[in-house]
Amino acid sequence: CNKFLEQPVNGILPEDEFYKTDKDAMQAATAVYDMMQTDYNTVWGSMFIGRLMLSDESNAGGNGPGDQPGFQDMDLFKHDSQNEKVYWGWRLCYYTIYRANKVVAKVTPDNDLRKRLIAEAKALRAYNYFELVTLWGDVPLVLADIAPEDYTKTKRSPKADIYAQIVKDLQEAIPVLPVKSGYAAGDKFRMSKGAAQALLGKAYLYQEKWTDAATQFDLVINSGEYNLAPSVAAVFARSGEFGIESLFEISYSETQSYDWGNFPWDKAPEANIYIQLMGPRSDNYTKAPGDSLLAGWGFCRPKKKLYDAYVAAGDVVRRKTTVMSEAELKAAGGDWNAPTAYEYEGYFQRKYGSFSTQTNSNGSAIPELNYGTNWRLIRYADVLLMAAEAQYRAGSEGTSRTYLNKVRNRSGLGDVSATGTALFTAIVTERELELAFEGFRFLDLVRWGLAEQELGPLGFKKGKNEVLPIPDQDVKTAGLKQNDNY
Amino acid sequence: FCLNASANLLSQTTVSLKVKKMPLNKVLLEIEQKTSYRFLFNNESIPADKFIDLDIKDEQLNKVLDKILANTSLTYKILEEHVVVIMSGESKKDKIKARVLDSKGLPVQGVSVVEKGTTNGAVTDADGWVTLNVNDATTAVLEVKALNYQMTEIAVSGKQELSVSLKDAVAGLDEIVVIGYGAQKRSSVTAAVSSVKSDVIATTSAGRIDQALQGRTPGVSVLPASGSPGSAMRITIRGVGTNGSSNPLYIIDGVRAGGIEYLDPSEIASVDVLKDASAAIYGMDGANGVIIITTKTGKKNSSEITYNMQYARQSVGKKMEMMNAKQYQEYLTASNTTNAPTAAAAAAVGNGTTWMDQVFETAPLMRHTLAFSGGSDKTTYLIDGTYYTQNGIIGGDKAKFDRYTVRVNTESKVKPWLTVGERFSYANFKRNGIAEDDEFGSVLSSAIVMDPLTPVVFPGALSTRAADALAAGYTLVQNPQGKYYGISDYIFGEYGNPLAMIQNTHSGTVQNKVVGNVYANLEPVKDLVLTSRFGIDAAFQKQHSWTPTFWFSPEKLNTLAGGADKQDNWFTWQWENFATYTRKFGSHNFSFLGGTSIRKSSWNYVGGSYSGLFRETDGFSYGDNAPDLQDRIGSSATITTQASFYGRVSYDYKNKYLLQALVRRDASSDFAAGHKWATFPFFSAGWVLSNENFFGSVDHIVNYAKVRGSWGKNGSSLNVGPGKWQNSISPTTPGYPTDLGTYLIGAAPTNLANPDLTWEISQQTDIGVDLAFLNNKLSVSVDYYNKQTKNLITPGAGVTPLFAGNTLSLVNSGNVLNRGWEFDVSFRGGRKDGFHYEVGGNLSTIHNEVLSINRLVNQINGAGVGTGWTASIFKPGYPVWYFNGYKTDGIFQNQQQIDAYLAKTGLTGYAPKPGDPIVLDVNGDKQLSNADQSYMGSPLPKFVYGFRINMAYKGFDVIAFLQGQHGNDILMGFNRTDRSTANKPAFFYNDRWTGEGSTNKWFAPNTNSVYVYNSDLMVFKGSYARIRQLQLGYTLPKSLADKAALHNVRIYVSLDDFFTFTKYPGLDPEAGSNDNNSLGIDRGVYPIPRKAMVGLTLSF
Repeated sequence: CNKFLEQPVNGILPEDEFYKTDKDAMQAATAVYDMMQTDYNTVWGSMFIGRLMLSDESNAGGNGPGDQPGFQDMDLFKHDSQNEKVYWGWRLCYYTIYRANKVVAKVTPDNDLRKRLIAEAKALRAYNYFELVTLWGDVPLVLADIAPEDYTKTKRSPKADIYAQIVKDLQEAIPVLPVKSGYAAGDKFRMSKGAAQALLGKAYLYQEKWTDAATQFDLVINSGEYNLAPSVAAVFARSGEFGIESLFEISYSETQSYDWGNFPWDKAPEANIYIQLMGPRSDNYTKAPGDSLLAGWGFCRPKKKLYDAYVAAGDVVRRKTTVMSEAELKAAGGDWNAPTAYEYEGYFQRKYGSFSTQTNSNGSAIPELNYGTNWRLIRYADVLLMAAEAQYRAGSEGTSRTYLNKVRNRSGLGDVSATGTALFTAIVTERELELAFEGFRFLDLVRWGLAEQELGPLGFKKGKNEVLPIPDQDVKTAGLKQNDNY
Repeated sequence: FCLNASANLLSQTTVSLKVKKMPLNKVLLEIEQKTSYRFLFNNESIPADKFIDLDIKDEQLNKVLDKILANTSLTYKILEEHVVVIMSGESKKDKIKARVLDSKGLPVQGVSVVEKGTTNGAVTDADGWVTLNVNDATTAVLEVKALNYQMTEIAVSGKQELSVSLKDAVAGLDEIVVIGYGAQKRSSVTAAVSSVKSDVIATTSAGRIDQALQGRTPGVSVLPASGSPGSAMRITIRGVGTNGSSNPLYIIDGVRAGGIEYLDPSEIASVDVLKDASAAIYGMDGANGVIIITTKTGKKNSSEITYNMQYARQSVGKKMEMMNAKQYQEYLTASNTTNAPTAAAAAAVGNGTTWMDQVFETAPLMRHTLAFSGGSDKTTYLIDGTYYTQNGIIGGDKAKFDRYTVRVNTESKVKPWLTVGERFSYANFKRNGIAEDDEFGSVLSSAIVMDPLTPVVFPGALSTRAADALAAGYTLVQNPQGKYYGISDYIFGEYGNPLAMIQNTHSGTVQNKVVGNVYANLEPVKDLVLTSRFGIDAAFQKQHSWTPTFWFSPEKLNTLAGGADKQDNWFTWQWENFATYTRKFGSHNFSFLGGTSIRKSSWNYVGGSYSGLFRETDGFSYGDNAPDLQDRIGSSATITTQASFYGRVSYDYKNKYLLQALVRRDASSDFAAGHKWATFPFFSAGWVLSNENFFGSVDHIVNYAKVRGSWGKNGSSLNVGPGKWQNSISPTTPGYPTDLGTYLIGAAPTNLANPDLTWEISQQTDIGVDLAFLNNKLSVSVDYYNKQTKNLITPGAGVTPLFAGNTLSLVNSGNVLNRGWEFDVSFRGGRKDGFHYEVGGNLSTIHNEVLSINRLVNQINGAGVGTGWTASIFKPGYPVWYFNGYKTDGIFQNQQQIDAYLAKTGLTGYAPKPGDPIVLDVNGDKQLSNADQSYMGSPLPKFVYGFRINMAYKGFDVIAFLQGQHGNDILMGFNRTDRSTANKPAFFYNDRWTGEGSTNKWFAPNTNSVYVYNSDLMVFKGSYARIRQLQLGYTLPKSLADKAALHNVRIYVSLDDFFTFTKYPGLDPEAGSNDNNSLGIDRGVYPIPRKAMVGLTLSF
């Protein structure tokens, strides 16, 4: 009878029978990247977009105030602990960490391949803890499976402990990870030594350990592995993916040729649907004949403030790469028929643009659903600007200016010769213009202490909005302490 | 063993004998030698001068005896099996006269009066008199039996003339109630069991047996998930006790079945519902109650052909009035909605398109059943075939249900100690369905929100939008006449022209199903029956659908036609062996049951999708007609096994004190080792007060009284599946895209393991009384129940903290209470001239409350409505899946009121305008946020009821049946804040706030505020009463029918689901969602059609 009651369960492989071979290890590590791809993709819960909402680069937009209310609320700093975007951002970080933990804990470092995969997992774990600590502050430090009876015993760890773990993971990973050129074609998406060093530098920068930060950035800069691409547009072109300027990207693909019938809304699509989300709203937009910017769903409508910042800086090249005005659209032969559209200030986002060149319209493929655009998470220009900031803080203004000017010159802007606070202000502006719509602005403003000044008019409240609320579920299920004023 | 049965035994023995002038006693001895019978007689009483001539061949023994004892004073009687006593008749017999009277003292004709223990009996004449020769007037006891009267026994006590008063029978006391692995007389039942018999089922016009149960019995709620043909019903017994499936267990002829959609009501002999914990006889999945269905069989020594037909026209009961073009334009403009039409555009179309008129049609429904049944002495048979077809009132044949069923039930007594039989049914049904119950662009929700400015078809030139789309190479849908369907200039998103969407729907599911069993009953010794039963439930289902190209808006389009096929196979076998021993010791009646059951269910599917159809027609809608490039395939298979032991003891003493106890032990392969087995006990007791001597003083008021009580436990593994407790490594497909554009497969645990996952348990106490008054004309049953479901099985997603990095797939989480009262009353009356009537009603109250949930959480979030709103919640202290949203308290009339409110509450970040609802800061944190959303209504009724009247006079009969529920709420969930140009019901416009003092109930035009659409303003009273049936029938007089060689001819006309009384302003207060956590949320439901019907029943 007991034999009768033991039935095979198809498709169930117990965990104990996995993490054994090289192939297992490879698949387990791939699953970590895969979750990060989900991280930026499922259920409109991308924290990449969430960070844009918190910045002063764009309005939420969309169809109206009821469209994706989670994003709308973040944009207006009305988000609470039940905000579904906050929930997904947090969740996907921890889900990625869970998979990374498995690789670190279960794969035995028996050969070079496995050692490398473990190092990749550690670097990815560090990346996600960095995301958590910068967006939520103190967070639970989870490095292994938690038994259900320990859910309520798990507490938030101080930021310093999280940073310590990030530094530890990266320091352990860096000696093992190959440089970018050491990876074969097809493996360029992996965490490399340079990416880990840049991330370590960033972690030091956020902890205001200027010299340590500068050291790591210099290792990247002097590695000979990276350089600036000819233009920012080239970085964000299809051909720029995993290019010379790329340190770390999350990879998407147009090859699935999704149509409306089979797009996996409830799963993790391989295409980047957020590009469609951010395109000019299709109800009102007519593409200019010579342009490749297709219609989308109208989120992330650029603020006039951003456009004006380019104009003030005399930055024409990057402005055109980043924002398009209604006047420019019409001049090119396109049209926009809703001047009073919701949260519309007269501009369209082009950096992560809904370009026909980045999607697939062959056969059954619906262009709206097949953007293969990668998220550029660490790129060389960002490293140079962080290095400039670290060198400035560490007192090396000359080196700082050198790095800063490299970035400026690439976009046809002249050298900055400012010193002292003016130099810092120049770095601030340069980051705003160079890195617009890349998800760094909010975190930069917070760590620079400029958040209240720049974001206050948008609803930002000092002493509260520097961090996101801990998702209600974890407050309720595990009894985590909520962040102040949420 | 009763005497008739013994006489039958004699008839089963045949004798061949040829004698000439042989003395009677010798003849008897001759017969004795040739048969297994022994004769006992006193030689002196056999007349010596009786000589017999016989020449018989294979004649039945009783006839032989009759023949040879004719013209003597001798009779015979079976003493025990195979012993026949021949005794002197007349000499010892006493002649008596008895008169049978009813409770009013009037004589009753046609009553059978039998001397107890003999075959000696007669039938009363018109004056109620009967004359009998009893064996001994001092000891004889008369048994008096008549339909609709209680059986009475009276001792003759030496009298020569006596009278007998009959009491009216308590309705149904003698009915047989199926209780699982056996049956009981209603009078002995101690559990809460409701029964519906075939005569009631026969009068319904329902095509599904579950529909026929609606409102028939207290405590059983049958709600359609939709009014679309063939859609499933939600049956809940004594409230929703779980947050997963609350479906009861279906036992059909002893075999557990996955569903009952394949049964035609005409196949059903009875439906018995185990409402209390007596369901424990089916233990493992009895927690939601058990519905036991017994199919019909043939009758011995009869043959009958029955034909039924029904034809109905179906139509919609009430259309929802939506805003017309002018109202729509004004409303959108007044609410500052982007992309509102201009007044000129609205004026140009007059009232515009009334989409509700466009989508509904009248649709036919037809049903035929033909049954042959009958049997000989030893074998019975029933062969039954049915056909049912129903078109939808929306979508016509695009929403059609067709069903064919064939049933063969036979039973044979192969040997005196062995009966074998089978009950098999084959069904084929096909269901086409259109999209509904979805606020994201289903046909139904599109019909609701589509703006009135859009024409059904473009009468002349296309609109600019449509022309542009056509020019850009998109496909605009054309009607059969080649005209282009209208394309909206205002409604985009997921919506489209509903008529074009209906035309584009090509979706059908066909299922072939075989359910049945073979069984053998063995009676090795007296009173002991061994049963072995092997049953199967096999279903093979094919889904096929395809989507042509179309364009409604940039967000709702398809540029490549594609299709999908899916083949599901379910196969379950079940083998049960059990023994029943029934024994009487004096006045003590015992019945014992013990048995085992094993069951194995498997499911597998293979499915695929493909696109790029060569031609957009049904004939080219298959994968072979599409290029290979985009084909996708999927398949899976699961197995679940279950094993069980069970036993039951029933006892009664003089039918006064009743006891029953049972225990079942079940195991399921779906649980981890250590949690596979569970034990489910049940105890009950009853006391028939009216059988006590002391009761005599009140028995003229209360004719019958029984109190009963029960307690027990049941399990449920319905919401568990194979391997759900385990964690498992699964591949991520298609994987992670590399910089080369290839994919790398990853693999990771899909969920966290929960080896402690265990059975969901329900524990129930029931106390009931059965009473009869007014000479048993009025019968009343009252039950109180208290049912707690524990260890509720819940998806772990809402319970596991996110930082755990993965989810427990299922957890045991929380307890739910359902308690309430059930009343069932019926009154039978009539006059001598042939007017009969019966009125009855039932009512059940339900108090539903979540008592606790998993200690890890405060609440579990349920269904979302629109985007970003959690509209239903599972939380302690509240009904399951209550509605959650903002609470409002009237409408702001002017700015001073707003200022005062903000000052008083200290609310910040909230800037209402006059005409906006006054939103309450429920948690008092001085801001309005999701945290202020709270309880604003429950989808569960406070009570449900049914009321029926049957009247008959001469050949005419009238049946009226009303059913309803009260106290539930409906959430109008088809309005979405992110689709602000959607049309709204007309009362949004008519009742709107138009200025200070205009109304404090309804808001100023508003199309996108969460404070309006995610608030209690969208919650409406869902109470309704529906006249399910109003039927007038006429039965041909027997004399007339006989002339046409017919037994019975009845014709009827019926209005079904025709009249509904409700305040709910939507399409239908009844149709609800199939998902437990979406109950009562109206996302655009398919309304229940009303039916005008004619029917005919013939038997010959």
